[in-house]
Amino acid sequence: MASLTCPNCGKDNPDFLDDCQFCQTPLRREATLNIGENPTKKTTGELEGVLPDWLRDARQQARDSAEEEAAKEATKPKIQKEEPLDLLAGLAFQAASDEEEVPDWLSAINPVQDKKIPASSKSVDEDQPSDFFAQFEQSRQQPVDTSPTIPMPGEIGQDEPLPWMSDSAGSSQKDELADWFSQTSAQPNDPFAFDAGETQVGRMDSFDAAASQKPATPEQPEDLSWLRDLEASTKQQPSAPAAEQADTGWMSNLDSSSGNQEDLNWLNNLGGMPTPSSGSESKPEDLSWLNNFGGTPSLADEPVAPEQPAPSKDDDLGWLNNLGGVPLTSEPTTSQPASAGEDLGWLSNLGGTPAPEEPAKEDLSWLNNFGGTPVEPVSPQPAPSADDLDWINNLTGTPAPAQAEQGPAKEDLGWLNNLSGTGIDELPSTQPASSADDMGWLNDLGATPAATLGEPLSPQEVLNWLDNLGGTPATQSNEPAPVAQPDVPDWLKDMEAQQSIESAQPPQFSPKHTAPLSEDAKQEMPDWLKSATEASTSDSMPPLGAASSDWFTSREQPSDKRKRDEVPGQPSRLQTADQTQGSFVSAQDEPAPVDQNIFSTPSDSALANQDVDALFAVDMPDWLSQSESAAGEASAQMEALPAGSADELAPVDLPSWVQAMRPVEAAISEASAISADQTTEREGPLAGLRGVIPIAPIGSAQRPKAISLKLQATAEQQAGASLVEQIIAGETNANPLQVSPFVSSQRALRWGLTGLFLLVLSAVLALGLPFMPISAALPVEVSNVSNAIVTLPEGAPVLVVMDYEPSLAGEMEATSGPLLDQLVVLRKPIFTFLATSTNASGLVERLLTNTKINNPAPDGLGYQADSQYFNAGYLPGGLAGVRGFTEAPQTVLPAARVNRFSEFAAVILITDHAESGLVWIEQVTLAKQSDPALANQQFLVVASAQAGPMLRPYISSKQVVGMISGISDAARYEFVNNSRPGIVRSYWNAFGVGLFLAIVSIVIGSLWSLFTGIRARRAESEPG
Amino acid sequence: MRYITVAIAIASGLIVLLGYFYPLDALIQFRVMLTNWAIIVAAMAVLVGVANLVFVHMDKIRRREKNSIYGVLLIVSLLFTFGMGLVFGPNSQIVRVAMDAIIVPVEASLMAILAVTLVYASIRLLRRRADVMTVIFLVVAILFLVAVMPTPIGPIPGDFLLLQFLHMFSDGGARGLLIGIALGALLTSLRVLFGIDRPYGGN
Repeated sequence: MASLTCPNCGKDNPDFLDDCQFCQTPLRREATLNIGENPTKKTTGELEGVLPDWLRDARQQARDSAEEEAAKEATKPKIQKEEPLDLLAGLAFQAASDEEEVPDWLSAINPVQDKKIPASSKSVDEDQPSDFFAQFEQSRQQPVDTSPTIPMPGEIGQDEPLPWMSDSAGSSQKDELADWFSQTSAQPNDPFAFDAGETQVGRMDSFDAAASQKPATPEQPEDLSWLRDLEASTKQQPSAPAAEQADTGWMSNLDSSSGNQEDLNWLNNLGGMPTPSSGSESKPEDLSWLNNFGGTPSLADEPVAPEQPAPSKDDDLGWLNNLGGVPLTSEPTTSQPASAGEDLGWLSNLGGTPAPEEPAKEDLSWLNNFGGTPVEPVSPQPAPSADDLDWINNLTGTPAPAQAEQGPAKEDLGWLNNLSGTGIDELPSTQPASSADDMGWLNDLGATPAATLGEPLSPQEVLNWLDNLGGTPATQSNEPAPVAQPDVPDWLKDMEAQQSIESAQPPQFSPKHTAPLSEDAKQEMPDWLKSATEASTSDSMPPLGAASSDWFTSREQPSDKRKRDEVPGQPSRLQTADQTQGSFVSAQDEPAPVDQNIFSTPSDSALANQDVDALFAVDMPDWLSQSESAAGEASAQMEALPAGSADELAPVDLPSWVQAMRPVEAAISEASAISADQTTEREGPLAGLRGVIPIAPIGSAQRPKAISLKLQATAEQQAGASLVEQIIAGETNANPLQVSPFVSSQRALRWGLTGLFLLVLSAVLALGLPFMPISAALPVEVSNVSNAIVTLPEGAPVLVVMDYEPSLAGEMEATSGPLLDQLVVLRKPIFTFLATSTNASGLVERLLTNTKINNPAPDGLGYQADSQYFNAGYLPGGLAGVRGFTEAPQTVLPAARVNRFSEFAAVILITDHAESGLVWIEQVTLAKQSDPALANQQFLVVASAQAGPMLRPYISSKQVVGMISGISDAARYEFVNNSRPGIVRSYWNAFGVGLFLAIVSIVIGSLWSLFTGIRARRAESEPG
Repeated sequence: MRYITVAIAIASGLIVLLGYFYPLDALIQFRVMLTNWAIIVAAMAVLVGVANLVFVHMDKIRRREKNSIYGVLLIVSLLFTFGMGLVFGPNSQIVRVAMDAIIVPVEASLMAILAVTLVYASIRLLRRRADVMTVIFLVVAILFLVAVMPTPIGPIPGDFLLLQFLHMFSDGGARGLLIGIALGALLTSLRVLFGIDRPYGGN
């Protein structure tokens, strides 16, 4: 067998396990669901195909029968509803539970079934009690008639339901299980293979033995009318006549079957499915027919051991252990000696799992498996003397595959295996009913009243002990066995005695397994069935008489929750089958209501987890909406249970298919296993979430460390910083001006120079002495001016351009005075004064006055304004004005009195600016080039000493005829002009003295400056 | 708008230039017209300048800034002279008195201060910069002054040679300056004609 290694503990586990059997860690990763992932929705209806064939057939038949019953319901009158429920009623009373509370996974198992089926089946059962279990129904309809005739152990009247069934009866729920049995028995049986050899249980031996110890019981006329229905079902088959014979036969032999040699082979035909070759017909008290009670047929061709070893005297009722489908291993059965004491512990398995311990004698633990889940596959094991009652295993749907191997069981009651729906086609009814055992206990099994058949019942023959099957355990659990009462039959007393003795002995019970009965079947068995089979051993019903009452009580008390587990409308068979799985659920329910809502939370915690539930309620099923905390609390509650209930609340081993639909649980368990150190929030919106808030304080590790604001610098760094501070402070502070004593001397020098020049020049001017001689030698350009004047025509218009500033008026008047005087004296020209400086127009009169031109004669030349000279005014426009004036003088300057520029015989430019003189020189030169009439036009320049050098090049280029520049030239020219007007001469002495002073000052001052400078530089260069 | 101004500038320059090379009557008349426009604009610019001067000083007076009294004197003198010139003409006696009594002596005084300053600067020159060029500058200046300086004994012998020597350097320097100015004026004219430089605004 393959194994899976647990990721948590590392131990190996069988591959069919989903969770580790050691640490409960999920072994299959795919079954888990991590938080945040959406669980994949699984439709449980998909599991339909996984179901075994017999179960599917049973379901199909149930649907069919439901339809038939619904049709019959209209025609059949209802008899009685308030009747005590039969033995199995307690297992199926939840059929009418609300559908809303049924889990999805459970309801999806039989999605076709609807609610109408129980009602219809109920009516059918009431009207047509055709089978064995329908007999139970009728027996409840007449409880009053049977009550006085049946001795009830424990003084429990038959008219009232058994205590353990009272809840079921009181609930007025319809026993659907019985209905379902009745339905299935009424249907034709299909051939169904069943290995009687593997399912044989010798419990009937002990049962027979117990019955044989009761001498009076066979003498009582047994009311076996309830078997009519079973017979009726067999009549429908070809072997029906044989069954009838058997029916009557065993009835006739009832009285004679008082001895131990009771032959109950008549029961082989109880279900109409006698074994073809029953060599054990003659066997006394052969109850092996019950092997097929659950429908396990013994095929016609099956080799049946004709020689059945004589069973022990003890009637073994352990076959009923398998009535609920939970098989018991044959090993303890075989190992246990058949005892007379009847083991009523089979009832513990009636609704589910078998009890872990079971007394060997009078093993009635077959009831543990009545509606339960098979625990373990039963290995084929021959039980030579035991009757094969494992057919009951199939009551819950676990099919026993047909096997050729036949055990030595003589009476194969495997036909009963088909009670679950699988019909038997070939069932020879050659089995005679030879047994005369008192099977009145079966009457009481369903509380069958004798009045039903109209036959008197002998109290001794009635095995009323079964009335206590459900009632006595309730008291046995807390009280001394109430079974030991005066009305108890002897055989039952013996059973009680033996049971009490055996109870003191160490338990010899070992769980018995139901299907699969072979290895092939084991392989074909679905996983969920495997797990259920393996898990049911610990969750099964305890042995009858011990804690079984608690088990039943606990199953019935949380009726509301039990109702959730059942699907309304589902056949009782399926409900019983579900109860096999629900057995462990119910076991959990009783101490803590965690059956379906295993993760349900208490009300307070549920309120606290509303937010979490809302989160999971979006896409998850309802059962997933339970928070983890609820599950944890539920588990905590389970842990807090008393030790006594721990057996019932054994760890839940859900089938794999159930676990597959509970991914969140796996995720939660995984998360809890992985992150055990994470805390679960219990309050606030995060309640129920684990590990959301870290354990460590938030931000403790990420919070930046406190950094000291104090700079830690070394001494060297601090020294450097102080040095930088000093440098910066030195830059920001203003350096004080170094006031040297030399500055005062400079100011005194300026004032000394000023005073010197003022005093000397003032004295020279004041004295007026001509001590500076003037040279008569004229420069070339000055002599050209004199020559040009001579060449001018008499009274020719001469344009005098005044282009100097008032500041230089003294120099310019002195410089131009000798020229103008000479011109006026010689040629009497008509002057047109044109100023290109703004103030020059105002200097015209000054010039003429200072040169004595316009002064009246005899001091002046007597020139008259507007006749001999014209002040044309200011010529704006600079170069453009000069250009325009040269082109059209009167157009540009209407006061020009000339129309063409060439009309001017000479152009005298008096300027102290080289630029303006250039303009005039260039424009006049240009005008001469464009106008040939200007070729003889004399262009004379009177310039200041500063402008002279700049205009000298034009003299060299002959663009200017002559030029007088400065006082020195003017003095020479005046000297040549007979010292007229004399202005230059007046300035000449002062001019000479001033130049001398200037030269002397500059020389002396420069030498002094050079000396002081050298001294200062030496002083600066010297250290210190 | 920018292209219009550029086009007008280029067209005006080309027309005036063509008028120099091709003295056609149409071109001459057109050139004269453009020149007259330039003269008028320049004359108006003088008036605008006078008006700006008045407004600046009036603003200073209105804000009562420091030495605003001089602004008041300027504005009063300007308005008075302008009014006298408009009423009596520029050659009136009043205008001459204003010129001879105020403008010429003031400006002549400035020129006298300049003479003293130049002497002082020449004295301090070697104090500030005692290098060869300073010495050369001072030597040339002193020589020029000596050459033109009248002496009681008459002209210094060899003064003409000294002046011719000095004029050689001055004339050479002046020619270089004039040639440079001419080239600069030519290049600037071409740039304006090509629209590269737009001194009239249009950048």
